[in-house]
Amino acid sequence: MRSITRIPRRAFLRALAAGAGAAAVGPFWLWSAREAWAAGSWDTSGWNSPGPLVRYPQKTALILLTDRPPQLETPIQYFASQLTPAEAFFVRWGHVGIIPTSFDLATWRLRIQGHVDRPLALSLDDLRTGFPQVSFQAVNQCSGNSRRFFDPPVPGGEWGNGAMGNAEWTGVRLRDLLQAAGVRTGAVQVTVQGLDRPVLPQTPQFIKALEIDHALSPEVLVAHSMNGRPLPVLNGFPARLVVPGWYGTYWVKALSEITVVTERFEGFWMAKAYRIPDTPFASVPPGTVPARTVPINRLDVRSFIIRPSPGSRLPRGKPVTLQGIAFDGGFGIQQVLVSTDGGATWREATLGRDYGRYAFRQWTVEWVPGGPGRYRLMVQAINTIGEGQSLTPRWNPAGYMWNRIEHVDVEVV
Amino acid sequence: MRWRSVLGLVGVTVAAAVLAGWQSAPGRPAAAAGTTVSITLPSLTFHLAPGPHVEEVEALCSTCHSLRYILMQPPLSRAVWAAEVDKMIHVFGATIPQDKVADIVDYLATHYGTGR
Repeated sequence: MRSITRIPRRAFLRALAAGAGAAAVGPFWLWSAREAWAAGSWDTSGWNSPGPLVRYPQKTALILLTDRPPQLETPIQYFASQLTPAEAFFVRWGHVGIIPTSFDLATWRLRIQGHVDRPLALSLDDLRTGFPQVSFQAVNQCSGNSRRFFDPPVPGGEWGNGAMGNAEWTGVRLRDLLQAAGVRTGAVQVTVQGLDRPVLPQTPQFIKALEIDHALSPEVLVAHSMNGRPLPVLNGFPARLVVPGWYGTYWVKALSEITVVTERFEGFWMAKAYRIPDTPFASVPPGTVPARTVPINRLDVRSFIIRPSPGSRLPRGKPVTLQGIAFDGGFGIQQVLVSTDGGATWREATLGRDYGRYAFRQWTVEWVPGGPGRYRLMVQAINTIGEGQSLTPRWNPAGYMWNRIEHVDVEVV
Repeated sequence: MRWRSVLGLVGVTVAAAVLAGWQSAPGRPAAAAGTTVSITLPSLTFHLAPGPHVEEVEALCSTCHSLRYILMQPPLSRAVWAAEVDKMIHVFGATIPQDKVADIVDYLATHYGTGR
């Protein structure tokens, strides 16, 4: 009987034992999917991307998409907990860039500038002690999470389902910083930039923009901590933007400047990239080009079965608790429905504690497996404004906002 | 296997003075001036499938990004590979000589293509 909670530790110990040489070299090792599978480390059912596993500084063993810039996916077993551990939280730098790896806190400053009365240059100390501290849980999910399931396939970061995570973020409201700087009349947007830089000078700099009203809403955070600790470097140290309910592309890491602007920002990463079809469900017929696009924005509804893990063998007649997560773009999860017969019948799951409308909502269902055979377990969630999920996958050319009803196949013996 | 690579030396050099004060209490004052936090990224090497023009593809594509970007793609049609190479040049500013473009697309469509 596999127990997914014990897998990471066991796999880790086995890796150390099997690869003593690698362990002696440093805290980094790399493992093929096949070797990892042989060691029972994680499923190859396709829930995650295929790997290999790698270990990066301040991170546990994660699934490698790319090493330069780093893109690392979180294995399924870490979603069995309410909070995704910081060391297991997915990593997504990109945009053909050079990422910041060294910070002198004596000189690092976050600048609040542009169309303001008093431009600010804030140290990390200022962020941690100079303004009211706010903490809440929120899901960060990459726009392209689950891209590998698009059919026909689309090029890009070929994520499985692990480019998401739920953390408790602590920091300062962006609104408080903007008000301290004094936003002048006529402000339209804020642009947000970090310390990452393109390799070539002609490559577009990664800059994102939020509407001024959004930036002044109480929920957008300049976070210096996740799960009560400083951000890992690969997750945005010293401070990153937290935009609850919105896709990760806006959660700019290693912040350096936030600029209030009086005209709509038309930089590449807003005007050309991270755009979705302006159609229902951001979907177009597979293989076609949308007529009109808008910047990607709010998360769609998603839900997952985490336990039992894909491919589990369950004894018949023995009660088992199905367990998983659901989340949406901030309206809150109203209902989770689970099927143990491939979608023929559905029943309502019991929702776990509510940690806020931007957090993972855990759910459980008790199930007594009947006769032996293969069972398809399915889950779908509905939020408080009636948005849900579909069996028909959506499609768009960039592979964004996948939210099909997910399933897990298990064997009853 | 293609991804098999050489391990790079890695160190996490986190200035102890900085993090020591933070490990348990996010509300505590920040570290003294002059402290630095740094990590060293692993240095990985990947190789593409052998074939005509593989050296040029490896050299030109890895200027800006890891070859894993190619290795992780699903099989893509020649048209999609051509569009990707075009995007690298005209959107991201890759310095790929015009007379190499056809060779690169050929290579990618041959080794990482759908056969269409």
